[in-house]
Amino acid sequence: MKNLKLIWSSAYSALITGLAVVAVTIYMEYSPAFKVVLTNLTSHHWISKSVGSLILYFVLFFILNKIGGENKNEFQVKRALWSLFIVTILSGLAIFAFFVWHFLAA
Amino acid sequence: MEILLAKPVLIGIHLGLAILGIDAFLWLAGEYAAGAMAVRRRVIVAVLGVIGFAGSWIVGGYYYVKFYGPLVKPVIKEGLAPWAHAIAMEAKEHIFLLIVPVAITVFLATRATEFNLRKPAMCLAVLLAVMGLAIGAMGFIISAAYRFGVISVVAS
Repeated sequence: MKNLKLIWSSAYSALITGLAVVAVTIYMEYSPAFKVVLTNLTSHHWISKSVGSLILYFVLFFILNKIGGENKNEFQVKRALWSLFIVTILSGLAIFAFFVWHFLAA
Repeated sequence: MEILLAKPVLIGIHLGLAILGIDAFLWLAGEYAAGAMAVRRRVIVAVLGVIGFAGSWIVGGYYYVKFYGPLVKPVIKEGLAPWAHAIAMEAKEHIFLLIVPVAITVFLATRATEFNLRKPAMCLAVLLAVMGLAIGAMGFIISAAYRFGVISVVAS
């Protein structure tokens, strides 16, 4: 089914986007200059992160779908979906734990 | 239009769309759990879920940028529970960024008929609903912290 490669591309794009969101979120808290750059891009750092995450997701989706080779089989797509499941949980927990720690350490 | 952009209405729309997203993905998880074979119904439910979460993101984002920063955040930070902003709001606004790409992936997976993809797709649908509920709980904490912040400011 041709649709399988789309699912595979989307799963890994979402996974990488999630990791990028975690990295940018934490880095911004330690780099006021980076926060200024994000703010200047769109008038608010959160808008920049929102738009940036969507652009990253769709660009990766397009690239992976183009260069991802032949259509993917069921096992590859299953592995991509489980990877996305695990990484999304870890990303959410990492963001929450970071802000708890950041508040307690302040 | 003026009514739609009023602060309480914006929060209501933000919450209502998030509930649509949560309910849609819970419904989808139920479709998978029941072994239902109706691909068209799965696709429709997933589209509703993506629309709900994406709409909630946009409306909530508008409220956050336009009103939360200048009006709500200072009251919470000066109130009884400043952690509500430092932890709940900060976590909420960033965890939300993870949701829509995952929701689109689940939507694409609903079209697949391969048996082995049902379980991971179902687990991702449940995860989306749980994340939506967790974010809703954080929103409730933030609203409560604002109310008690106002009370403490007035009392002092």
